Amino acid sequence: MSEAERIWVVDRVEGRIAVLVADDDEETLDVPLNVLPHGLREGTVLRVTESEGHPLWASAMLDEELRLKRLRQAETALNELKSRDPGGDIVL
Amino acid sequence: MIRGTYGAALMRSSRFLWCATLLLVFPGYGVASQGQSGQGQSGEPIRVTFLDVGQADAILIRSPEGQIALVDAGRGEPLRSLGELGVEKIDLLVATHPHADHIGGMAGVINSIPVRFYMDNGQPHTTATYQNLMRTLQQRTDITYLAAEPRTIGLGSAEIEVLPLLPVNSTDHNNRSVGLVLRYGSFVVFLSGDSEVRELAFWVQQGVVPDVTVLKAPHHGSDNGFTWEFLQDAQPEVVVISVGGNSYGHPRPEALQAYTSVTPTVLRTDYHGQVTILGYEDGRYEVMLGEETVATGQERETQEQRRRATVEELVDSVPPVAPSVSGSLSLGVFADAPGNDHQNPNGEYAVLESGLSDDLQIGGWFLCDAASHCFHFPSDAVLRAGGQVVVYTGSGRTDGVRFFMGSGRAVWNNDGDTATLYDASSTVVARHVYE
Repeated sequence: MSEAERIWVVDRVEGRIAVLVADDDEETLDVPLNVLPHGLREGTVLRVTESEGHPLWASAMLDEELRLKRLRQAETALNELKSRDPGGDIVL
Repeated sequence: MIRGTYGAALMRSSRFLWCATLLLVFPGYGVASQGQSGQGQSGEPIRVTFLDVGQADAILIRSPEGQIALVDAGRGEPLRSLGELGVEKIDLLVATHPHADHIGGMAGVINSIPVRFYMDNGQPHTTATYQNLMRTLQQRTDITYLAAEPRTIGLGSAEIEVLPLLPVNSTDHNNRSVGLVLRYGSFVVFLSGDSEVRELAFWVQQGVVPDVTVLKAPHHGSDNGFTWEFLQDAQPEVVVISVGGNSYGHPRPEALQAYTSVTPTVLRTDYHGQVTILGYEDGRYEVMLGEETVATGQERETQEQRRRATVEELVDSVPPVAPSVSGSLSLGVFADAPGNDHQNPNGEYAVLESGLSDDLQIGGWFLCDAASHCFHFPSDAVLRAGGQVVVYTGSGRTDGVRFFMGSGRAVWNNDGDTATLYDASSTVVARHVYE
């Protein structure tokens, strides 16, 4: 049996469903919250073991360090983009 | 806008007498052809197309002069639809919020079609989809970034007003969706991504929800994507729900019931496919499914005309100043903001000062300029005895003394204007004229 680890990120929570986005190919999956670890929120990064290509959700582990790193990177990118804003009203 | 009960508001709105009477919300209902589309008396229409992108959003706007805006880009690439619609450039690309069902196709669009301006809510996310979009934008230094803050974007003869966002760190991505009001004369469209109750209530409280012709149902018709107060202010003639197959029950029956109680013209992209609405400057519109026109609306007054008429009616019908507080309240306006007034709306403000010995409940009162730009005080607002409140024109967080109209532009004329304060029963309680 082949096992691998895949990173999934909680894109959003719709009621009792977490919508996850895979890191490698941006595949999206709807997963019931009750099979995932407690404490999930939007942006939570999960490391999930896969067996024969199937995610083992019970194995999911939160990676808080990676979540915070990505947020810092995103803030840096946003700050660079915001420096391009001419401000005020715009006429196209 | 003068608010009343929901039923009274509907009865008062003559637009509902003009509204088409097609029921389109459920499959199997009749769809009747009502005429040919084309140029109206007021000239070329603006086209608003809700692309059929499944459980996602992608709305294309084409101004009469050909400027193009795309609000959200689905979860896959909407390139095929954009190609079929002849889109060869995009003047403004808006990501209402960074969920994958709104930005999933955005990097692909940017890499395939020239884009001039890009706007988002400035809120970071951690998904690969968002990271990919950020990398793409960083590489494309020819694209000008625009922060979603109160400002106006001219799209040919149409105009997009960007609404204030909820304060940072107060909420989730949905409730930080970019809110846009598209105006082409009397034709008005409200787009707000996946806004939920908190953001919709915030906009109602800020008094920035206009009467609209078309409403994109917030959050794909979720039960947390509407409030009755919001619908009372918006009073849409057409509601479009951008929705596809999903495992969380969108659109919810509660939302469908709410929308169909406001207007008979409710369309769903999962049943009706791509929906195009042609809007004319005089407020007329045609709803098109493919080549077929399935609903039409008649011309209407602009919101400003309605407000002006309402205020004139009030001024004519009530005593000039209520005697109970006459002389005890003073109103002042500081109209000349430092620098460019339109770029510094909080540089101008109105001050209401009390000469009373008791606190005064001013919840529901409203302050208007001569052109009927009005600010509604929230229900818990109090003017302390001998104190004052300040109403800034721009956006900000209310602390009970400082209030904000939420306008992206200056309101008070520097060369003369009239400030009028009405109480909750629309009685004039103070007026200040300056030249």
